[in-house]
Amino acid sequence: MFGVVYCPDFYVQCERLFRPELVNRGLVITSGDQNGNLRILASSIEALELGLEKGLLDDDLNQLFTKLASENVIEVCRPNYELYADLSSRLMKSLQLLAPKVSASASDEAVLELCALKRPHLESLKIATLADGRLDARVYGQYAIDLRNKLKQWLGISTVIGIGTTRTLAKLACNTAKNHQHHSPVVDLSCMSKRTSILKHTAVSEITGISKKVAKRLSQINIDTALELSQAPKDQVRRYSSIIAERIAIELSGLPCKELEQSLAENTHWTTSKRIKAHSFKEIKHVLNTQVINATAQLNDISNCCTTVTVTLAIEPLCSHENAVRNSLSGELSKSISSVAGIRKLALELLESVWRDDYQYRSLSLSLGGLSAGCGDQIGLFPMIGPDPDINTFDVLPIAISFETLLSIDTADINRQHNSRLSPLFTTRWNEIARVS
Amino acid sequence: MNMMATSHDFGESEEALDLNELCIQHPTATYFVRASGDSMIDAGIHCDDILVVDRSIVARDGDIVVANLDHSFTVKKLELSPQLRLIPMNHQDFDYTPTNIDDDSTFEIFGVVTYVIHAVR
Repeated sequence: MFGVVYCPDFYVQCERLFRPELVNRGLVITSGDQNGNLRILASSIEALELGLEKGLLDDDLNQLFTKLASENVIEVCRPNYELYADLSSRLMKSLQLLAPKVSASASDEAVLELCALKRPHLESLKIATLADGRLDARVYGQYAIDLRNKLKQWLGISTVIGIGTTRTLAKLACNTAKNHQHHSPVVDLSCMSKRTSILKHTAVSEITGISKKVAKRLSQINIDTALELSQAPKDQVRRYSSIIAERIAIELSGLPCKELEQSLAENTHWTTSKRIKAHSFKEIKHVLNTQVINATAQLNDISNCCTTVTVTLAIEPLCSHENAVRNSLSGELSKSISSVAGIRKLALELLESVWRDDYQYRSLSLSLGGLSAGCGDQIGLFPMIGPDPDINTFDVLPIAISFETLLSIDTADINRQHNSRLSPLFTTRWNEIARVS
Repeated sequence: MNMMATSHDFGESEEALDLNELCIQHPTATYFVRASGDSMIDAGIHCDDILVVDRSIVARDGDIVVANLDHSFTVKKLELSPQLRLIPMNHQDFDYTPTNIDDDSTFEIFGVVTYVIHAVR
């Protein structure tokens, strides 16, 4: 039995925790990229209703955003990663106290292995034990409601919880609770009839791990809902789509599939590519550095650990050379250095090996691969965003400055335009803690 | 003849006293805030003192709490009966009066104050 705990609108909730004046008010958290475009990282429900959705702002949206911000209809914040990281770590530590076997799958999401539930976890619940000493089947739902209440009280953060006999079912239950307001915040799919009705109403494309492409192929063999996928002959699913889809289908039917997690992890990567006009190695290094910063900032997932880094330099087609040289290199990160500094160091080493002085390059891409759902002991990218001891090794920057400052250089101008602020570091700096009168 | 006694000779030394251990029972549920004003001076809370706020404790009648009242934070004594009220504690200043919490007000307890950290110089 598995549970998935998720904090909806985590950034918004964090901002509101110490700023009660923001409750029930439109709140948008934005950041700018290196090209001067503004991106919405998170929107409160009130801002969503005004049409401000997550993602890059196009011209129309930018106009609307500027108008709402200048009229003070919405509050605009810059992402306060330090605050989010602290609350995320409190969330995970609280879960470790309240639940058995916790693994963080993102900054705002964790998977619990509920089979390991012990008496102390259930202490505060009035649960009838069956005659043979086993627990009542309803125990998981009741436990989840109690857990949710405790998290709300301890941290001040609301969560939704999904329960299922497999990870995939638990995740699907969690998504159902998250996306459909009419469901209760705890959705328990361990009961067969409930499972069937919810799977019937879930499109294949809504399942985590099923891409649009795979969903399209499944649709060709008349598999459109999660229920149909769970009932389809497994070898047919594999033949028409992928082995991952097959494993998901097995999990949807209620049988745990251990290989699934592994194969999902191997398939996640994040790539950024930029056209370059730079000619010197120094300039290229600067571009790569910006890419590393953007990659790590936009991954958003604090416990996402990447295991491989790939640097590719695309050659200008006009100047084709006779002897083709390798223009792409990958390297593996050891777990212990999976930090911003580690990624940057490896990326620069790769760049150095790929770079040829006599070539004209068209674009540079950076790809972070093997983004795994981080386990408790993994070092996330995110907590490393802070004063960076390794920064001196980076010679493009004349002086040692903190990573935060580095991030804000890119976005400061855009944010100033929209009058956005960084909220105080309520939980990590003594001189910024909240005032009470 | 060795006159020097190393720490080794005393066996394993106990760990030094830790204020965190004394003041923080539930680290993941404890936040710090700073007091403003003198409305709680009789409770030993002075302006600029740091309050240790434990959110995992369920507030009882008479507890000093940090509450979110009409979208701003306040620290007061909680009275649950006969009526839900927030009581300032300053017997010298009569401008501070209890606030009745009725259905119209937005009210939520943020946490219970468990310790006050006051600098004396």
